[in-house]
Amino acid sequence: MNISYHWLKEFVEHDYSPEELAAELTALGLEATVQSKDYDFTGVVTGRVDDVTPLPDSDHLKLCQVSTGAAETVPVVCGAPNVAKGQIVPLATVGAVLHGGLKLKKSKIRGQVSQGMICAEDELGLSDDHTGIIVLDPETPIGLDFKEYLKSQSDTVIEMDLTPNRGDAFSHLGVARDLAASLGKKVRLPRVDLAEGKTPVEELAKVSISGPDGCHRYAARVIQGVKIGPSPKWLADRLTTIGLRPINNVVDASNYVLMELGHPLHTFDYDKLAKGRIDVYFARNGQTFTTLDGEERKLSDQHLLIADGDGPVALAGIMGGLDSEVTEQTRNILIESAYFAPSVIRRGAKTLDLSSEASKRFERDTDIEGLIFALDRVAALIKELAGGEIARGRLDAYPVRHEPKEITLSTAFTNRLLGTDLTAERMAAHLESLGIETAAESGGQITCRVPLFRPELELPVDLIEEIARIEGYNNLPTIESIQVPLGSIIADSHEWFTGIVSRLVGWGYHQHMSTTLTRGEYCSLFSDAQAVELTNPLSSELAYLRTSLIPGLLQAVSFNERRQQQNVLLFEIGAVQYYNKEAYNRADEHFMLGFAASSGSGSRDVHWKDQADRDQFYLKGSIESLLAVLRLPRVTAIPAQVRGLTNAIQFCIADTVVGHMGGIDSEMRDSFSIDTEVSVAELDLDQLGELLKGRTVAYNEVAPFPVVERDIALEVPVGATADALEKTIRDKGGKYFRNSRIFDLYSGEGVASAKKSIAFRLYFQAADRTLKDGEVEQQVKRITAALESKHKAIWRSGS
Amino acid sequence: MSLLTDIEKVRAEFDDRLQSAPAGDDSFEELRIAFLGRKGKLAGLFSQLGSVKQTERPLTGKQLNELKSYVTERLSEFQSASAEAPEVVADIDVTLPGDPVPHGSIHPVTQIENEVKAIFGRLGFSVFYGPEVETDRYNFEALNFKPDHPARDMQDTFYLGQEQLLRTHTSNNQIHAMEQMDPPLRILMPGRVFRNEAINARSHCQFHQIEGLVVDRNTSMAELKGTLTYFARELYGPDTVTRFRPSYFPFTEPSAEMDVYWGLDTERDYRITKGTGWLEILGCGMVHPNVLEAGGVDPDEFTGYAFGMGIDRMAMLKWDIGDIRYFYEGDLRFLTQF
Repeated sequence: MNISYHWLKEFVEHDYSPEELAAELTALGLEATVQSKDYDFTGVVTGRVDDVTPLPDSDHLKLCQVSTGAAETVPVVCGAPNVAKGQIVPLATVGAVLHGGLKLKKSKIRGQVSQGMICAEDELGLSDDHTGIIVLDPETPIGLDFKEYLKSQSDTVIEMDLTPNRGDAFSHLGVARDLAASLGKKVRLPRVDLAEGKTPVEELAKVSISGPDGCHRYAARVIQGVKIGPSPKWLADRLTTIGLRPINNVVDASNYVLMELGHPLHTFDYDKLAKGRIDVYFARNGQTFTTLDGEERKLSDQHLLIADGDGPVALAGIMGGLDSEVTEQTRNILIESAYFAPSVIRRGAKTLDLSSEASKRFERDTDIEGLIFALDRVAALIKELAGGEIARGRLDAYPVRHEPKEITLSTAFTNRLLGTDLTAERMAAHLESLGIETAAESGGQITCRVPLFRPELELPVDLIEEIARIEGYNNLPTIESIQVPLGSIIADSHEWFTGIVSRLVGWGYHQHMSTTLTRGEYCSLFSDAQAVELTNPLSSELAYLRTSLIPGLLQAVSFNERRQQQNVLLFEIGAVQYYNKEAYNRADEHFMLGFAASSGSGSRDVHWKDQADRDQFYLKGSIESLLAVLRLPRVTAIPAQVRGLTNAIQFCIADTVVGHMGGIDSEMRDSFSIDTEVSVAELDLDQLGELLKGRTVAYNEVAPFPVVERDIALEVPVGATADALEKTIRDKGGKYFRNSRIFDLYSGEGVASAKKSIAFRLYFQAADRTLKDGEVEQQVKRITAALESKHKAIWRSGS
Repeated sequence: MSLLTDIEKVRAEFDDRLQSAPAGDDSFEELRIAFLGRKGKLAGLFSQLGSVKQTERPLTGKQLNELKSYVTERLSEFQSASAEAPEVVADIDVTLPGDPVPHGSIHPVTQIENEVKAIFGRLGFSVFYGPEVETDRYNFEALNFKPDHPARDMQDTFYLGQEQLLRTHTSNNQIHAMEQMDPPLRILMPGRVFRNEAINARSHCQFHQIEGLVVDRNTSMAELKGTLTYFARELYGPDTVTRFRPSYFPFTEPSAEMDVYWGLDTERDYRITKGTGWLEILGCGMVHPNVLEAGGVDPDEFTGYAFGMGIDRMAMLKWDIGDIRYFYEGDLRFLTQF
């Protein structure tokens, strides 16, 4: 909502500049910003046209002598039809810059030297108008900088960003009430002079309310013999200033009072109201109604209607109807000032996706008592602007009476909550300044009577906020020490994620965050889980909750590839959701750790040193290292079928599958527009977290005796897996076997076809003595014998 | 000519050539092949041994073996001497870059989140997590959002059905925390939140928040102000000036916004502070008694304060990032800078 600086001053006098006013209102909780107003012209001064002589060779050009207060007048050739002797005008002198950047030079027109230009509105960027020059008030002094003059003359707009609880502040009066409270002043209300006529309103119209749940009060007045026409300039200017378009005097008057007092008013063409009857009731399901914007609206029994003797004429509190609108021909009007239930208006406006200045105020709740003043004010204003006679009295159906709330406030609790030491008197004074009646009771209690224009004030804490607002939040104490109750300290279940992040970053991975919302088809690429679907998505690309981090990571790989970024190493920590109809929120949330590693030609950073090309074993190594530094129990990687992955493996700890990894086939890569090889992985952090809970490091005393190493090279069928071979080695290793490591892998020349050569280094150690060669040799023989029998291995050599 | 003479001649020739040979492996190899090679001079001499008279053969053989040892030893000395000699000056360019040790990057949102957690950690706040998928009760109703109240318009919501929705703020965790733990509570609740808003440079349908909640017997607005002022000074520097002004959240009463004075030194300052010099940092307030009750806490015995801030926005301010979408694209040209 916009308010006018000058208009506000009519309600409460103050000495603030617009900027100071905005700061003060903001400090009161009514966030205000001064709408900046800047002109881009320079070098324009006010001048008086001392002489006008038509140029002989032209039918419209005139030579004017313009005085700016200097000794010599300025000769100006001007073609404007409205230029005349004695006018005060804005004069752009030589060197001036006009709107849009044009610089004014001395020129010669039809042989006459012209040293300036008398400006029209468009030339200064004030409007698009070029029908004539700007003529100023004849009292305006000459020689003033026109920009400064304009700023001093025009109003300033203050933009209000009101919170939803402050429906009462949705007007100049509402803002003024808070300002007056902070200044310790009273608000001045506009004077209302009705001068009612003789005809009793009851003879002209009748109001009833059939739907009192939706309409608690309906008041109306009738004015006969109005003359519809344009509004006077002062009113049109006020509306224009705050961003409203003037329409005609009757409509503008109700808009003016709306912005002034905050209560929405509606004017009907009285002659179009059948039988002069008004009733308020809920629509039938399926009923239609054409609003004044020409749209036919389909209604339900949630929508409240205003009806005349024949049928609906307005969508209550939201928008009027096309048929009863005030037009140029209107002579008699009925003005409505009503109270509609906020939730009814809100539901109605929401289901129709229709919001108006009126509905915005009704749904924030309005002043059920103040609506009478608003009605009288607008009637008087219309009479002033459009003439006519106000029928005597008003119609006022008030079936649901509101009573001012009484709230008992404890001063002790107030001071406890705010951390203050305010006296009961001071609290009461703050409340009184806001129109809240108070009465001091015994035992430090204050009884407060809340005016009906503050319906949101319901509880003692609401009043405490009012006290704090007037006291000033910045004047409340700020404590210098805190107490931490030891009982409040709990463990951070995600704290260990920090270790994961720092390790992965140390290994070259970048942390990515993809969107939780994703396409439906991505949800089934890598997960068997049922995805959770949005009922009101932004687009089909953001319509489901991700079931896996992998699609988001692949999208990021693709994004980078298309920007010439190769060798993408990404990880992401985030939640995925699986549909679960048993859960209270229908979703199971799992925190996952996802990876994507892309490779491709040119993956080497330096060419003068050997580096292994990155393939899926790089990612596998990263995951193995990560699990190793977490000191988790032994992790096994088992070849498995995993949805969406090629060459997939599952990572298992004991019997728990904690994650998987694999490659992406070319078809899927194509669908993500990825050219290079990518490997991806996903680990379940919730599961790892559970395993970490029981984690202990099994420490072994460091043995002082040497480790004996033996290398064995085997020729095995290509299908034999490293995992299986290592398991056999471990099983047959005997009690001194410590570990084994694959150090070479070869196939091709020198190795029989369908075979590969694989070399292990075996480590033996005894805790209590140096092992003898013979013992180790014997054990190696047992191992190789087992490998030969179990895996058809041929022992090629040993050392 | 006796073979013995030839032996002496070969010895002399070897001595000559050894003398004049330049140091190096090439010379060594050349001499070795010339004298000790399969077709070398010594092999030539050995091959003639058969034709020497029986009586002279032992002596000649002995001489020949001596020569072989002599040549072998001299050559070996020559080789090791060559090896010791500085052949070329080693080219160690210490300005070459070090071996590329990979380094990744921590997402800017994580960095701010860690910073905020660390600051409140010093004040004894623990960290607590709640779900992204919520029900109307946890996200709205228990937080004192009444049905059909315009406060619900403050947050455009993604629905997953009649009751289920994506949380629009981390405040849902307040209720979970109060339900799961007995007061006193002193917790920080980070998480991802969702709003049904069009995605553009300034807004996104997902972003991150950190919520704080303190519930104790004697917390007050004064403690809230002290705690959050400390936070602002830790985050933005010891001279940071803060102000509190009234605001509205259904779940706090009184409610406030905390602003810090950002200054008006640059065009950007004007832009981001709307010409006021003040920048809104977080929303806060005293926990509404209805919220305490909804969480099973007696509002007569306990009071509380809560606050919430947007991580993405803080990161954008800190590094002057003009587009929130950068956070969710995974662009390495962006990520590597943090």
